[in-house]
Amino acid sequence: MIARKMLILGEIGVGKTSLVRRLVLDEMTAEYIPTMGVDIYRYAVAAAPPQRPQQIDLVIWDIDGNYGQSIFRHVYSQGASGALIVGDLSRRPTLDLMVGLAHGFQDAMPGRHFTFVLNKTDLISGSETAELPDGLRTARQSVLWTSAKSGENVRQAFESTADAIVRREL
Amino acid sequence: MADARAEDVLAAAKFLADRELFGVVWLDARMMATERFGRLADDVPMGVPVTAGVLPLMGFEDQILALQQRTSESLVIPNVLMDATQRDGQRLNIAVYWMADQGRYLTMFSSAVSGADLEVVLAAQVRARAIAEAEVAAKSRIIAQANEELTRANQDLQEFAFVISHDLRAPLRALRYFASDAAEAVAQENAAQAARHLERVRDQARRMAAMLTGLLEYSSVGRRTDALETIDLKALVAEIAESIEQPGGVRIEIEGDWPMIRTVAQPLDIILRNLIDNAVKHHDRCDGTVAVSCSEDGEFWGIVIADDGPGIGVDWHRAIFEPFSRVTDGDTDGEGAGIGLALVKKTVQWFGGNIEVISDPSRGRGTTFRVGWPKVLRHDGRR
Repeated sequence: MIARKMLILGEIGVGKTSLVRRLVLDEMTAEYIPTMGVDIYRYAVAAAPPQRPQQIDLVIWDIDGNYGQSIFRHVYSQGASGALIVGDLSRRPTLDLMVGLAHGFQDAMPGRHFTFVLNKTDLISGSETAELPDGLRTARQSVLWTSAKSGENVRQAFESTADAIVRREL
Repeated sequence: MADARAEDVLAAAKFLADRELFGVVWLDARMMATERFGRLADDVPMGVPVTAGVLPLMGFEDQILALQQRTSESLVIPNVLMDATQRDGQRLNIAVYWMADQGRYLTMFSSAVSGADLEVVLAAQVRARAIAEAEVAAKSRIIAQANEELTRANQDLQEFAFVISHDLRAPLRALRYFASDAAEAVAQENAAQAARHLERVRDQARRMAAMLTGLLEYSSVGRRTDALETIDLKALVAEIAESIEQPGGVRIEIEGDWPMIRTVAQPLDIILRNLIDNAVKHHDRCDGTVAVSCSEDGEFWGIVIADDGPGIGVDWHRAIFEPFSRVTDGDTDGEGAGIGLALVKKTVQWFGGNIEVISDPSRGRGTTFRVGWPKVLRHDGRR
């Protein structure tokens, strides 16, 4: 069993906490309670040989979205092996910010893996063809469309990132 | 005195620890927990590296080791909810110090700001308002878009009503006349004449049916959602060319390089099929050519359908895009041109594209239709 630190980054209100609580507790509340500082969750990604020979314990840092780019100068981001960068499909400005966060993450933590997560697919129709900023449309990173409300792709987002972390031996 | 001060300090520390305001853990030089003191330190496992036993410290091994060289510094992780599955769990500040004179680390857990802190509550309200304002703005955009579509639908309805009452009047009138003639022929027991008139009645009925079908198709533009797919544009044009009758030797030539594009296939097929078919059908020579090509034009794909036919007079460039427009060449009063080009223009514009016709028979032969097709379409198939 190995343990790795993972960050969840993104603008306020995009659903970072909802995603991780859907994963860890399989619950979601409609009430918006902003995260202050950092909330830490632990989630065991079960072994699934042969692609995942052992269990991976994710220590998930659900960080206050108000930090913006300054999060990469903050102690919270140190020691991270990977990240989910989350945007809200119903609020275009949050998608624009994702690209900036990705650049900041790559500069601060070169070689670490991140996944783009486009959340709240339940709020828009025709998710696959929503208008995305250039940096997301042409991204070589994984892009996953999720709904914390329905659970769509939530586990995949975390588990695929965990697998990438282990594959890169981060 | 010094001892008294030390006792005072210890007493104060015990007082604070009993009230769960802080906890202390001593770590050896390898970061293994050796002693702990105070309620907030109760959950720290002993005898294991603190970076393995305390979740927030995972990943900080290097930083904690480095404190032994940078003794004036400390590692502080503020405002941590250590187990967020417990919503009412305690929020802590964690600080790690290297005590050089003792050769060990002091790790302190202290209570962070509570949720009742005014600043936190204010910050929460400011954020909630920012999100609510963003949601209102998003909803306003949706309402504006809905209004735009409603206005368009109303315009479509008016256009539809006009066409029904205006353009269908002629064939309906003709139908009435031919039916009347047929009745008269029957009364005169002239079967052959009656049969001819009835054939005309059938022709008019067929013409009206075709007009209504075209009108329905025209009205349905924008009423359905087409899925995006990746298509070989050259292959699409080739398929269209193959399916079109090319009487008298008019050739359809597909020129140059063509892209693979991600778009709505069926509407684009309708547009190109109508334009190419028109160019072939209205060509006046048996050795004529219809050349189709494609190039990049900024945010659009520029698709050109150019023929060397008789051309379209400049005065008709607008009318040809109206439903059932009547284009005359001065010698004959032709029947309505149908709805093809009107359908093409409406479809192109619905998806955010543009179309123009270039032709002037007074200066030379040929007609060129240029379609600007948007490269990026939105989720409902509309740019």
